[in-house]
Amino acid sequence: MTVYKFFIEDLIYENSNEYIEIANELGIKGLRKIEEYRILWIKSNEKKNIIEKILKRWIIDEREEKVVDDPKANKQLEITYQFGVKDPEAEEIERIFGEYGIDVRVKRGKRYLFYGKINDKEIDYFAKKALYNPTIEIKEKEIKSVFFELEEISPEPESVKIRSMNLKELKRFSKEKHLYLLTEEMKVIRDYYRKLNREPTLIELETFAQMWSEHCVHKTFKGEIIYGNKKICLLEEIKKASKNNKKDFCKVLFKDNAGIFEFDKGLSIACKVETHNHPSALEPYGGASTGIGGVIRDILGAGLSAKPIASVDIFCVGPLDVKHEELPEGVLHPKRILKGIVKGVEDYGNRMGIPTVAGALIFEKEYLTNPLVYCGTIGIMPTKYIRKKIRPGNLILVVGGKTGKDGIHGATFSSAELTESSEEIHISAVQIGDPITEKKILDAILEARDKNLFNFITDVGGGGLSSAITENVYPYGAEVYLDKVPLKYKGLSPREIWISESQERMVLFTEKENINKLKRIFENHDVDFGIIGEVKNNGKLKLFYKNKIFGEIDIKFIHKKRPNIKRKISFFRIRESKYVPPKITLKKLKEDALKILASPNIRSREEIIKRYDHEVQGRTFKKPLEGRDLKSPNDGAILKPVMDSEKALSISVGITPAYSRISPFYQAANAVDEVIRSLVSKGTNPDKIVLLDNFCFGNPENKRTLAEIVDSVRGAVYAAEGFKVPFISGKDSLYNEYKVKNKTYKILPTLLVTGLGIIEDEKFVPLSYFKEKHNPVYLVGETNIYEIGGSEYLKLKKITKKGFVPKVYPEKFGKLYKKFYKAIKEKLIVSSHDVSQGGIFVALAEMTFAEKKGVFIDLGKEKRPDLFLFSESAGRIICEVKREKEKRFLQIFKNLPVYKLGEVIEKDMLIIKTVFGNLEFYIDELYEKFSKSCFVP
Amino acid sequence: MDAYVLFAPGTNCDEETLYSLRKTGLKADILYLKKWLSKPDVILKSKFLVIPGGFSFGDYIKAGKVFAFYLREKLWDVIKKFYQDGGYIIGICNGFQILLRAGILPFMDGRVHAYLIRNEKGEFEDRWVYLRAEGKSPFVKGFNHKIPFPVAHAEGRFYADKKIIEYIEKNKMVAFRYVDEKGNPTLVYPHNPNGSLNSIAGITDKQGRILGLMPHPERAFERFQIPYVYKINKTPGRIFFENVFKAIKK
Repeated sequence: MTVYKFFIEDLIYENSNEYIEIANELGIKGLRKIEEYRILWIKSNEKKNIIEKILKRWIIDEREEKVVDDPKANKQLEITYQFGVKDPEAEEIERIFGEYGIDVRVKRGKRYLFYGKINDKEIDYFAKKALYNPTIEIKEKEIKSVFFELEEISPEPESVKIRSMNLKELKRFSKEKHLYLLTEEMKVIRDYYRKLNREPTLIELETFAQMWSEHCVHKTFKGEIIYGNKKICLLEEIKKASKNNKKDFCKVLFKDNAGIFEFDKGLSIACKVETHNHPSALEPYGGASTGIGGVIRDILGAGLSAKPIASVDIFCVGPLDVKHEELPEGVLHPKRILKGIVKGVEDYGNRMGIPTVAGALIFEKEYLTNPLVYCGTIGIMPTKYIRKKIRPGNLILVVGGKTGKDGIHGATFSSAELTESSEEIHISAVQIGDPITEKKILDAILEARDKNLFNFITDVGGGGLSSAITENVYPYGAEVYLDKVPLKYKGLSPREIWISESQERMVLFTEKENINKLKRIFENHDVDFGIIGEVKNNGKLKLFYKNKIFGEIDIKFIHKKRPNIKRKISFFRIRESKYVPPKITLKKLKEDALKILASPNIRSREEIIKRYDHEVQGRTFKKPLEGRDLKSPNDGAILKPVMDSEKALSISVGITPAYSRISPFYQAANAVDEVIRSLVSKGTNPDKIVLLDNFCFGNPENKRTLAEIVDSVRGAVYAAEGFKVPFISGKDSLYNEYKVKNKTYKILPTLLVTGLGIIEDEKFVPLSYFKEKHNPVYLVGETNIYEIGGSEYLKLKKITKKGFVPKVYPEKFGKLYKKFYKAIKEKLIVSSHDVSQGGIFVALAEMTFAEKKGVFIDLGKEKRPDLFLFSESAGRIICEVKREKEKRFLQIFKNLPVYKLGEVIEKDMLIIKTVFGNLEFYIDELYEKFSKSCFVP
Repeated sequence: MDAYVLFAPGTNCDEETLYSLRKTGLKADILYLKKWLSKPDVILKSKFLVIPGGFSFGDYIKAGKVFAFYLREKLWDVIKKFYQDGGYIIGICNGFQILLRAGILPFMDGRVHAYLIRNEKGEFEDRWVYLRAEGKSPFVKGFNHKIPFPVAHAEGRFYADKKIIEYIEKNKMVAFRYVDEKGNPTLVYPHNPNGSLNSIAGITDKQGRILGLMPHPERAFERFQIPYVYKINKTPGRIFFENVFKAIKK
């Protein structure tokens, strides 16, 4: 076999200037130019001219690219993917040659030529920051052979001596082997093997580590916490609140891979939201794309599989203007993180053909070291498919992607903090996603589901096959033949096969007689699979490799005997104080208003939104941006799961971490209210709303952090119970901390609430922008001008820990929302917008953009127009009421807090009358501030 | 069968395309590429093929290349026969990229004459644009002067040599052009979303029976899909698919 190396020049694009800009930011001034070439290594027996001919016709595009001779410069650098990193493009190239009957192996890379005054050290630094990521790529010096392959191995079961270890030794052992099991858990395992009178094998210990990891069992949320003089369990608190408020349409709560509710007769919706924080911090593109891939598989694995119809993505990152020298060691710049995660969502979501319809983007300095990446997916399924059951005698199939060494220890990794050397230690914990493999699985599985060809399905996520199988075969037990798992390459040990977190895999359980029919479907969709085991009825999980037994675990023991964690904390007190900022002039107020509109947490997300296909599948009714020029942002999105039915599904997210600096409790309660009010403002029936919770915190072993966790959970439960709205699914992500040189950085306690609701008739949905002149504009809900703690207004003044945070009064707000829904049903509302970050001012401004219809607002005798406009009091909605229906509107809201703010005007201005004179803005001026942004350089 | 929606791994606008065809009254079904390869003649029983949007084979090697490879190298004879028998072909978005790369458009000669290269801005973009319909193809009849359609692609910038462009223009092979708010063809972003030459959004073959276009008519089929209050009595997608219906059923 010969290895040919082709260099390909891009004839249209060159990134040189962009690179020089980054180099300058990094303090490298001498770089003048960078040339970039793609490299293809093609290993084949075929002649070069034949290879090149096919290459030129089918692989490169002669209008955009050219094959060139070995390009050289004094300073140059070559990179390629690390061994084992999946490269779907290379696989497609191999496919085309294969169709010509030519056997080739392909590897891709890049060569960079540097011009100017730049030394090797600078190149090294720059390359690491801008050109490649050592987590997945390597430089030429480290490339031993491009087509490196692992040796075949013949493994033997290896046992580990732990029976004689004392607690200290157990603790050390757990850490050294990356098991991340707590000492009390190691003790229970040791005692179990003492009783069995044998030592465990390594694969058995790994199974415990996976099954008892934070990722799989959520020890902290399931554990017992002594809080003051009360004993509580966080998960039980959330579940209790949900059970009490559960309504008939809620079908599956806190079970299975996703929450499920019935949307219409016979038709259900499944929804799940996950986080992928640690991987996204290390390799943003891979982390975000595999995050989406994972949550999509949750939906494919919900019940007997749902069809994904929409996704939501929420990011929390550090401020983009942070200087490189201020970054703690080992931390990627937030610009690079944001650019990577947006690209990851774009490439995975778009390729899957699942519209990304809503999201949020938060910038706070606490996310600098630990960005948060939340990915959620919504699926649709006939209600008859919401239940599934495993039966003894079932065959176990792994379907989809092949298994490699990817992501080994990803699940246990979630129980650890990041450190500056995380890059090196956890190299294998981050992967790159392959959406097309997943799309093929999706198409094949839905076809198999509709033909009733399996009786149980689950996704393969954290912990790999070890959790996917062990979690679900209780109480029956199973035999698993690890040598039957389809592999990417040789050289994997049984232990690695068992815990590998290779992407794009599902596990199916089915009766023997279905195998042939399944096989035909998989082949038609080009999907790989392996029959890897069988469900037994002896309570034992047995792991085999080539007829040798590698492990045997009592399935009851691993499911039931994990020691529950007990922790104790004292009461958490809210540190709130009234704060009144100094009075400001009208001129300054105008300046501040424009600054808030342009602030990173408020300004238009258009630049990101348009890179996501939010319309594929044709179901998107209310898109992220509305109006003729797509200028007015929507509070959430609305889908028509069934295109020709009048019913619609509304989706929204709530996230208000800035309030956590003052009160984690109200941070959580506000997130709940934000979701509910935005759903209601779009015409959702308040009795048909369900919520999903996603908590993110630092290390729960820290008492202060644990207290914040409890406070946040209590806030969420308080709000949900008060609104009588159930949580149907949830997840927590802990250990979002970063340790460097004895300093620990932790995130803000952050609750993301995702809300879904049913809109009984699409005609109920109001517009998100002002429509008709002379229509009165009302504010529903009460404003407390001192609720500016954690607000964008005080942030502008660099005050983040003073002031009252907005309070949530669920019973009171709930009553108001019901009335609002009544007004909507009677079609009194033309347009509406919920009031959140940035207060009334921002909501009003956003409503003027689409049709350039202005609004005149009279603040009456209000002495602090600034506080009135920027207060972030909860429970408020702004709406434009049909002029002729104003009386009826007021009748509905009799004795309730609604205030007439003013009316819609023809003029393209936002005019606010205050006791100090008029505050006037042209809509163009507002839109310019709002839209002139650059998030993703 | 009236129409087949062609499907390769990574195709993802099949569902809404099928929905639009069926709602218009056509008998339509999905045809998996793999099944088609094993039985090439199956298409000869239908009169209409549509290659829907998506990322066929991931579009990893440039958009549509692998799908085009199969059409050109494995299915060429049957496609030619289908066309000679009077069949119609439409490629939407990824489908348009495939038709050009397989050499089905513009001249059905198996050679590449025109390109859809990366957008001027270099990135994927989903946005609504205005189009003007023109030419003599049965697919472009009955539209208003400003048709709202969404586009969603990263490689949609129409490009060809001067000679080819002149030929296409002279023979009225342009079917859709991007226009501005006043209805005039434009080269300026965002109304021309990708920098296409001569504002070209879609072309046909000389007879008007093969159409490729970047915008998505199947996403402007139901009224709710249009992101603002749209007062005209038929949606542009509906008009488009009714044109398809009339062409096949004539």
